Amino acid sequence: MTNQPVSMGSAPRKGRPDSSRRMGRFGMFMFIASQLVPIIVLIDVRYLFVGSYVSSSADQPVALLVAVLMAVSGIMAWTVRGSAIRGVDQVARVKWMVLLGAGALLGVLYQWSVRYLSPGTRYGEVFFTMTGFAVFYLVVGLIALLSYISRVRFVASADDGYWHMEAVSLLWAGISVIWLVVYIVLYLL
Amino acid sequence: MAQTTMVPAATRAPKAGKRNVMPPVLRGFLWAAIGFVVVNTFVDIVDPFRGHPFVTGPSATFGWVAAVIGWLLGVGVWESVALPLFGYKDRWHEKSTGWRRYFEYSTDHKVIGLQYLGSAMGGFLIAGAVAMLMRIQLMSDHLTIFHYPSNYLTAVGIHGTIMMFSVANVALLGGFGNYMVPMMIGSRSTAFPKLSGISVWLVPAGILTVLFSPLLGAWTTGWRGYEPLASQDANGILYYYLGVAALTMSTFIVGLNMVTTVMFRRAQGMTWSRLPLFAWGQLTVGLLVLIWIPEIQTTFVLALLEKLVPFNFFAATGSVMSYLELFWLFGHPEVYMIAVPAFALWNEIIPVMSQKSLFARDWAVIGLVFVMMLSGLVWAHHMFTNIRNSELLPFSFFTEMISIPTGFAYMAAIGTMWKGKIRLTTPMLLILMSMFNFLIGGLTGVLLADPMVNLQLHDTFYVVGHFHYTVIGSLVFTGLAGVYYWLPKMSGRLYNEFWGKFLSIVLFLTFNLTFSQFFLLGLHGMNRWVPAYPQYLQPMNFEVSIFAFFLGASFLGHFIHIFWAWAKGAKATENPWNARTPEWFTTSPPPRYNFPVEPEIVSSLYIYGSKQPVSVQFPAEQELAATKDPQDEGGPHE
Repeated sequence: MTNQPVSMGSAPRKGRPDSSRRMGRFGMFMFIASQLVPIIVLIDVRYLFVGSYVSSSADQPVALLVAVLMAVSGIMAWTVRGSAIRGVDQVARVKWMVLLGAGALLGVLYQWSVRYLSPGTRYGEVFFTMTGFAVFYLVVGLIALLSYISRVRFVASADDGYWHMEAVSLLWAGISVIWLVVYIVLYLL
Repeated sequence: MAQTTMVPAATRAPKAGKRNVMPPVLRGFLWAAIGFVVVNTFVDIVDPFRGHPFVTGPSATFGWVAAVIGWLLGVGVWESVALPLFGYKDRWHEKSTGWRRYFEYSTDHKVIGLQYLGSAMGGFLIAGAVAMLMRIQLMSDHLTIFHYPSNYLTAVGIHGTIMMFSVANVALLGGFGNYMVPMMIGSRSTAFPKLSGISVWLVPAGILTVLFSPLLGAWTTGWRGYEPLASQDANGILYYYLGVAALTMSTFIVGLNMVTTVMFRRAQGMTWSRLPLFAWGQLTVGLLVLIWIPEIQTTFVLALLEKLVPFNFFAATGSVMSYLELFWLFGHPEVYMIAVPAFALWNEIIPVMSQKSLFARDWAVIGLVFVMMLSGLVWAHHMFTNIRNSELLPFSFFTEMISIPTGFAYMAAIGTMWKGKIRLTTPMLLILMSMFNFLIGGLTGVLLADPMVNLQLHDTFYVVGHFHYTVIGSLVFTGLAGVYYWLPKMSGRLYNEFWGKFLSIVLFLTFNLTFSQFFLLGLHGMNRWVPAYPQYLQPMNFEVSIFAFFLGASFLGHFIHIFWAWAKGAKATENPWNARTPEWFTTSPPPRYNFPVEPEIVSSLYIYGSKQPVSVQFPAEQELAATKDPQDEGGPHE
């Protein structure tokens, strides 16, 4: 058995775009699915330390408002993903998603700043930890959305088959689900 | 609402050959320093509870985040990823030749693989040097070079943390995984080369963070970061958590990249039944990584908050056991993240060196998969001294059961060697040594799975001997075998067979003379985590230290030999081992995109003998197309 002589080789060919797109979706799905593990750990921590107790100091209206903002933006993200599949840019809708996400972020920062919940209490520990994780994901998601808004000023989305647009909308949809889970676990169940 | 604003693609071509102001690594250090100082100062100013020192716990934590971001951007991520992500011009000029490409951001999976291997070797040398300090200390029964027990314990922690998270998790996964798996499955790239190019630079960041953690004060928990002890330590423990966060993030990205690459980048004809064993190993470990790395990262964030805020999750008023449980939920699968690629590599190299078809290939694959699945069911055997009697039996049972699928790897290896024409080359010799060492580690593990034995030997040197046989036995010996096996592929040169074998025999002897005596020390009552011990244990400890120094020297000898062979070794033929996996069907070292065109796999990769079919072919029409279209661009994920 001898090896065939080979040339330097050119860059990988575009070849199978469907396969490439499926690969990207699979990677994003695996990433989002893996981030359910931290959420499961946090849910364990919540019920281990405070059971189903919800502090009477918790700001329910603001928490509900934040959850609604994220739910609406999550639904919008899903429609943006559909547009990406159809090959249609949705800059305005993504800007709305950023606005809603920023509103949610401000809502949590407000809750943190007024300190109705003390970090010295059991529920406060769980509250700050869970919302801290959620805020981390939110900031990452906002940067991703902003990258899309900035990118379409210079680069046609069609250049990458609208993958960037689809990827950020998938990520945001995943983050909005995480936020809803956090809200339900922290305030309702 | 559809909007499209764009600029013609032709105007956005990257500026080829743009010169950087300074070498990327230096720039990374500079930006990291600036990031740290600026953010540290800012936190000092706004922190209402700040103390007198300039560097406090919170300021060091936020400063570290800025430093790591600055480091990543500085090594090339700024021009190559961050700016293009926001639509700006890609100003990064990736070098395709020369040594400098190994010291900056790259998307070439082979460069990334070598960067991972280099980082792992650096971590190994650092952690090994720390181990030598520990052995110097243990030559005496009282404190000598370490003035306080906490200093010694910090050294133990640094040794364990760097070895586990930057060597064991990195060498076979990030190193050979990135370099070899794409070629072994006939691919010309990995799934996410940009992400992979970033992840590798988290390893040096993590190693340096852990190494310099004592600047913030001693920490006494070892690599496990046990609570509530950690919360009582100085701020050095914060850099343990943060360093591990960087290292595990790197491993996580490797796992994601490898799983997706194996799933979607296989060449035509590379069916699951033909997939190389090492690729199977990477796939199974990748799945373990995607589950358990986020788990331990979350646990460490909780522990970091426990120290920083402070919270009381794992204090006496919280649940001390919860930390142990959360840690070992990850901790034992971690062992198999290390061992499974080694098992896979045994059965990759043995058929080649025996020139005999792989025995019971399907069972070898099933063994890898079942080890992966069972690895999540054995963790509480690390806590036999802490858990209820009723909980001992199931974990004892599963711990002993996991030796069965592990045995499949041995069965395939021994069956393949049986009546084969074994070439006792250096890689083969190292594989056989690895199998012997892991057997000792495994058998002592079965003993420790027995609660009665475990309760006697818990936290003694017997356990230390067991896991060194397991980890060094599997990872380090097999890793070295991999380096020698693939050296002709990676460098185009051959090592010296005499020196390879001589150094391997010295390594094997010194390793066994060192760590076999750990079992005896443990049985005689030598505890872990102690720099001072009863006088009657001193002679054996003294002797063990002497062998340990020779062991360290033999590792150094291997590294010097490998570097020499890489630079000055005899030229290798393209397939010196007569192997059949696709990485041997291209030039050595391989070109930028591995193969001129995507190869086609036409038969099993493990059939040897007189009826040995061709395993890899290159479609002629694609080769012709490639010569006509040399600048074809990559897909959306390139």
